[in-house]
Amino acid sequence: MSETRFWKSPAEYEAQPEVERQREEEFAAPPQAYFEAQPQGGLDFGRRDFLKWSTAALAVASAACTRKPVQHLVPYAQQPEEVLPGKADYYASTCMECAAGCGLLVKTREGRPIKVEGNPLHPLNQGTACARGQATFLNLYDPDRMSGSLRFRRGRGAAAPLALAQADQELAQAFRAAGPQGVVLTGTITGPARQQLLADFSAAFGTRRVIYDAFNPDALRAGQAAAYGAAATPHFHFDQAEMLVTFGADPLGSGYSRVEYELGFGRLRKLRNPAAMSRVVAFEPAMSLTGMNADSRYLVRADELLEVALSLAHQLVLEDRRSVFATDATVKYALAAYAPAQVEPRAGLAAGTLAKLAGELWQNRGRSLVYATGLPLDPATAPALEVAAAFLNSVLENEGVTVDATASPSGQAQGSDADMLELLAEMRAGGVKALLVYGTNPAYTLPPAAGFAEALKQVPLVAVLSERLDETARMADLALAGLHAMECWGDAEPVQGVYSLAQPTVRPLFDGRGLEDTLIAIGRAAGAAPFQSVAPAAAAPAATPGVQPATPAAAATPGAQPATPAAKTTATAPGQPAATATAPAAPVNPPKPLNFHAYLKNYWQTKIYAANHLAGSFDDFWTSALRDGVFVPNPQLNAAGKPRNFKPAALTAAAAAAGAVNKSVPAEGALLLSLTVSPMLGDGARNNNGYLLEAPDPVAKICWDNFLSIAPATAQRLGLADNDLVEFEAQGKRVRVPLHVQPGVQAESATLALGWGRRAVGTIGNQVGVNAFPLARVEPAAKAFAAPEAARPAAAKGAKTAPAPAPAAAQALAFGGLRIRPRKVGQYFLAQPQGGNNYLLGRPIVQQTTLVQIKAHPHAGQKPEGPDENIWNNGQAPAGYQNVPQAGRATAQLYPGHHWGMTIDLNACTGCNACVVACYAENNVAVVGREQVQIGRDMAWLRIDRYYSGELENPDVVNEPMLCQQCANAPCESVCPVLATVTNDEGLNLQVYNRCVGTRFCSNNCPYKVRRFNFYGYIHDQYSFGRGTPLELALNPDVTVRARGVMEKCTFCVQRINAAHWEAQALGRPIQDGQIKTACQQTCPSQAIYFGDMNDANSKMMQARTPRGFRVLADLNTEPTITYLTKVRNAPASQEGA
Amino acid sequence: MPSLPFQREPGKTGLQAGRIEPRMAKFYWQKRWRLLALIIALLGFGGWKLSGLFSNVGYSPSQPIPFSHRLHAGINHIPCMYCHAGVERGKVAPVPALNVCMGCHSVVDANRPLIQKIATAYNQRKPFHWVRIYALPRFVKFNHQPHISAGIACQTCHGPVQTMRQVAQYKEFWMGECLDCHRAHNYLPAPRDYAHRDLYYVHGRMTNAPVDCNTCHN
Repeated sequence: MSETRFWKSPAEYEAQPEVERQREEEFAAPPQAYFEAQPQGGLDFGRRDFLKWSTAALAVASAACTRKPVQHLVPYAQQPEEVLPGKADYYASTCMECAAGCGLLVKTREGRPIKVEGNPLHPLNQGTACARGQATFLNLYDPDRMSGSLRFRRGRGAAAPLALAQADQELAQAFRAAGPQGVVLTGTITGPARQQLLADFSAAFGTRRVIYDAFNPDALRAGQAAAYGAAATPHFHFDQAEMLVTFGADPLGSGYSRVEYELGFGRLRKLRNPAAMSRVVAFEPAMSLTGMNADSRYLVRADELLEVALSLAHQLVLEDRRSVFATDATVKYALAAYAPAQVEPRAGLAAGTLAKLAGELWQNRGRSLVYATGLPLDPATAPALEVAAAFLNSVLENEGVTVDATASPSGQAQGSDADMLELLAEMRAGGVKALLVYGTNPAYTLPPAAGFAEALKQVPLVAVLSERLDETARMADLALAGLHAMECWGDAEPVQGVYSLAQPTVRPLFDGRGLEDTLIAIGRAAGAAPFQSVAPAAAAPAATPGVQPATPAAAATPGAQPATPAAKTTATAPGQPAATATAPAAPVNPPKPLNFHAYLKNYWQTKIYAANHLAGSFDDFWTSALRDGVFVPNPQLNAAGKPRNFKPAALTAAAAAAGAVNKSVPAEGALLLSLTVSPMLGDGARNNNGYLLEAPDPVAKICWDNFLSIAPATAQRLGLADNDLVEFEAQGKRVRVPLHVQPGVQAESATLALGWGRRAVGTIGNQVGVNAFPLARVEPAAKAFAAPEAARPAAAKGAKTAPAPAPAAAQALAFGGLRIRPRKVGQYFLAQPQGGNNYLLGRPIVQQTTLVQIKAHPHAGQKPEGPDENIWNNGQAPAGYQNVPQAGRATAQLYPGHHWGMTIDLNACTGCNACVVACYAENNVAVVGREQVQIGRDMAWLRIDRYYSGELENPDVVNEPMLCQQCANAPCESVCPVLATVTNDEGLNLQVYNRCVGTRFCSNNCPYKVRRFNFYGYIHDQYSFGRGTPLELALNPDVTVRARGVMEKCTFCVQRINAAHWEAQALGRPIQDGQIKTACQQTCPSQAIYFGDMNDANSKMMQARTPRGFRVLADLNTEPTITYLTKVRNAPASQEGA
Repeated sequence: MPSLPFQREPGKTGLQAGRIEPRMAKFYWQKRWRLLALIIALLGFGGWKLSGLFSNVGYSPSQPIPFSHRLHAGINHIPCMYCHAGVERGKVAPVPALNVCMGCHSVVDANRPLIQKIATAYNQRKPFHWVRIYALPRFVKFNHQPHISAGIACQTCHGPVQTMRQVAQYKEFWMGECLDCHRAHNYLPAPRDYAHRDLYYVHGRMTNAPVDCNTCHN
């Protein structure tokens, strides 16, 4: 096999002259022309002016004070028992960034959350977290959150402060009067107690509840209903899917339980011994996060996906005669028209592709998964695609194994587009008199065609409860300030049988109130019985009114405590020592006004605790549940569900839908646009978060913008190029968006990510990117798959007490199928964080092989370490070059105690960016904004480099996390004139910030380009932790905040290493393997990163170093301590050497 | 072919091992520049040191309550860690919360006006704003815990607090002060073989003060 050639961009693939020009450049040069054309701001401040002023400043400074500013120490008045200044406390909670319901551990210092990590006890995420979860604590401190409730005079825009008591009265009256014409519109809420409260509210007022999220699996439910008779949102078990086939879907980037998926995915992607790993096949129109990690990726236009899926079924059932369905006449009739021989040429697949795939799938039956739950591109075919996937899963005996809809089905996506559109029709008809909106932002996520704004005008009273004054809240009469999930109680049941608790970890920073307490207050204002007082059972131990401020005044005076508010504890609230003392006197307690904490506790006592017949008192149960953050009555979550019986009639409908697809080949120049979910931003609900905006898109590696992705060949055909500003018309709108030429996009397709272009999210996220939601279409839903009313998810069903009004024609949203003709209207420059000059130039930086080859040879795919011809002249190393392979032993002598090292499994790394954001959060890394990234000044200590190999049209991808390699022979050290970077006696390459004078020699000399220079003291800039804003409280006090003019870089989370040393010293034992987890390792959802002591051959990190290990640029004799494991592709034999 | 500018000498650790190639050293330190730089540095540093302008030793601000360590720690022999509890577990020696004061003073001398001032503050949950004396720059991450575990007396750095009516800064908290002590206690050579590493890390680290930069700076 010839050596694989890797490349980082189409320019490098085509070896364009600019690549050769940049060969000698240390760093990528931004296009000067673009910046010169931009309007220049700022002062005209020359070098001489600078010198004058700095001299004057120095003189003034030297003559000034002799004493440092007086600092004050403010102790607690009553110190909470568990709070020790300088020591972190961890509280188990639940992530509410999306409805996936992952468990979190919230790290608090002096009562303020500074970092979140996954909860290791939680069965779904098992200690890991995604990028959005890692970034959640930044939303808590967001200064752009609502600081108080407002009353709007609709249409005029004027706002006045609103007293909550008055709002409660008003809402109570309105809901009383509206009765069944009152509606509570929320996003998905999975918590059993929270749902019960909503049901109580509905019962008390007769209101209806509608659930709507930005992305809803209507098609999945409809498809499941047609296929199995009952709608369901299955729980997909990626950890058992030895073979995964996706059809236009991105489970790792946008699945409704994506962390769980990635965890299972990563586990099976790792190479086992003897060599075996899972196989991933993707059919998709453009490269997604999942597709990027596929072994075989087939480019199929979005409107051909259904045919391909049916054709695969045809191959399996009719040609290979697999499964009981082979004899089913209905199936035979439905699939007859989809023989691979006919479909493959149409879809652009090589002949025999599907036959081979069918064979592999059948071999893996019972441990494979066909997944097609993406955004609905077309309402007619989306449920049909789900039916086809369900059929394939049934044929392959995956039903009940990797697709579980009976044992522990998912509740993570309960929203419905159809319900929302139905509600809008009703609102337009004047059938809704009072509307309370929470946790969803339809004014942003619904296309104008849905008519949300007009419908809202017909509703007399609209109240929106929201963390921030978002698009919907600005249209309301009453904009009620909500709380961040870390400020209030809550619970979640993401999949049936997993009960997760959320607890407040900080007193509310702003004057807000959570949904549950708002509902209780409205109920109380209306005099509704269930909301008056605490049930006696829960009264005694729950006497903690401080948990939720009963009045705004209480929330406004957190200053009673020192600068940091007191933390909420697990069992008892601080400052309430009397609570437990008075507990035995419960019966004589006067009834306390109900709050949600009491309600929650009561619910858990009467329902969850009682139903599971647990030994021990409820208080013990509650304490342990709060400590663990999660309660799983039956840990056998992965126990097989019951396989459901597929109804062949559904396949007839699916085949009919496939036949009716409008597949007119796009006319010359027109492209088929599919909208996609951004893996970083999701629905864009919390876009005011610098971490998520600056961490680049996992596929395109572009941040601070969304962009139209098209294939290189298409770009050439249309005369377009990277960074063109293009315009196209769609849905009667002109959209202007930057263009990105993305290898791996189907030639007639284009994609644009949703979730960008917010108008009202905050100063950072406003007007960043282009809002693509208006491009969604409102279409009539497929009649053949209309879900019966009884098949709606249980949560919605319980709340629907009022009779539904006469059903209008069912509608659905579609996020694709648009024909566009982009044309160039200007020049843009997309921000691409990168190290160095962004070209490989033939250096052996990344290595890959195939499963077949690694079975034959454990070192397959590797270049032996030694002088490389691309780096040294003619492969001749200079004199003094030490032979590298012996270096491992030499370093063991140098670092006799510990020698910290890392192993990164490129097989498991999916490139999801969770580690990048975790690194930002742990190490106070600054967010610098688009302009600074454009000129190459991003500050990410850890980046994920993405390398292509193979053909330009459909390349293979390897993701390689690149961070400081902690070289033993560090090139940065020898050029530092002030010894600000040195190796310590544990092999760490330290960076001493207070010693650094900012020559940047080290960054020039670093072959890995992982050193970041702080040009402007970014940390207090607008995008990061602005001075005087609450965001300053989010900084990690254990890590120095780097000043301007200082070089910074990864040090393997040296603060965590120090902490482990101290802990070990206190316990009188050496540091245990696994005791130290770096932030990136801790959060990695696919568990690709190992960290440990290289001197300990038994450490997990050293054990992971199989012969597959290679070191990046080791021929420079840098002796890096990070070993990467060669990427292995599980490609079938025919693709060898491709 | 020129030799590499940086080489590691086997058997030496960390800084000792790296040496800057003579050719480059010449570039940095040409003779006359070296002389000039030396004179400026000496004058500047000497003047700075002698002037005492920047010294904080003896800094003794008045506090909201004229709390006497001499009375409590000296005459009454209350151990430091009775009030500054948690210093053996955490980074900082916590300034005692008001409930610690009230633990004794709800009974002891409860009638005195100053004690009543504390009681009022405690009842109103309005803690005092003590004036900080020992302050370190933010890029220094000092941790009390290992020092207490190693048996270092509080007085080593904070002076004879038990004799002070009003606490005054005892020492300069400059890097040299830290390093002097750490170097003096950095005598245990690390074992060459891995088998004895545990022994070293259990017993050695107890008293072996590291002098790596990351000990204080990260």
